[in-house]
Amino acid sequence: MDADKQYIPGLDMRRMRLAHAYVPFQHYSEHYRPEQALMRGTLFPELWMPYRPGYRGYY
Amino acid sequence: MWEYKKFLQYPTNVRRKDPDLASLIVTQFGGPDGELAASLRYLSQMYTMPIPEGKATLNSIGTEELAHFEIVGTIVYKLVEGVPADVLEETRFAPHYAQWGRANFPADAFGNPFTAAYFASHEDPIASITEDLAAEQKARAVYEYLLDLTDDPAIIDTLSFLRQREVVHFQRFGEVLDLLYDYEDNEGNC
Repeated sequence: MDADKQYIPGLDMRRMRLAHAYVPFQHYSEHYRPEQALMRGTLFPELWMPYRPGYRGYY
Repeated sequence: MWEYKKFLQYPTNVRRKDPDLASLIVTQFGGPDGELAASLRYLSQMYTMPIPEGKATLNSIGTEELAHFEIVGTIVYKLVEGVPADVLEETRFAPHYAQWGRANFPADAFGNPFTAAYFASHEDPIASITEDLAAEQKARAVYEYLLDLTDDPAIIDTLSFLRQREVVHFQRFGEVLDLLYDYEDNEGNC
């Protein structure tokens, strides 16, 4: 999953300009089961970025 | 118009009373990076947004932030509900109790009342969406500060959900920004 998070589909470097902010478009791929998505706060594994305070984390 | 559902978007199973924590978490109720400011920011910016995807995103996220305002309000109240005044007196919540009792009041962690000056609503859509990206990052950061300040699993659970929503919203606003670049290129407004 971590490897997937490094992949940024939809970001075309050739059309990027100076002094513009960019976030790559998300492309629909896999999704969590609805009950899991509701508990995590996202349907999408690639957007699941939990906080891990000093690695003593809750997760 | 809005449709109201009589349940929270995410459950809050807060049982442990903690008036000190209530007086800190309240900043996400009525503070500068809180849910009320987020909701009113997006719902105010919506009208001049030139592309339908931008309007829809502002409307949807602005609506969801109201649901988060309700969740944070529920947490804050559950942390002080039923706590006697002589116990509250010994906590950081005492000044709040002196002014408002146990009622929720949109204020920051210092007690400063909510103000619309916390946010901007610009006709320039790039300016507004860039503000919204910053707003989502600031809200995420505040949730992390708050997560550092509690060890109550019930609080951690709900704050973590709210924090994750900020991450998702950032992604959606970023996509709107890209659509706005296309729009301005095509309209020759750039």
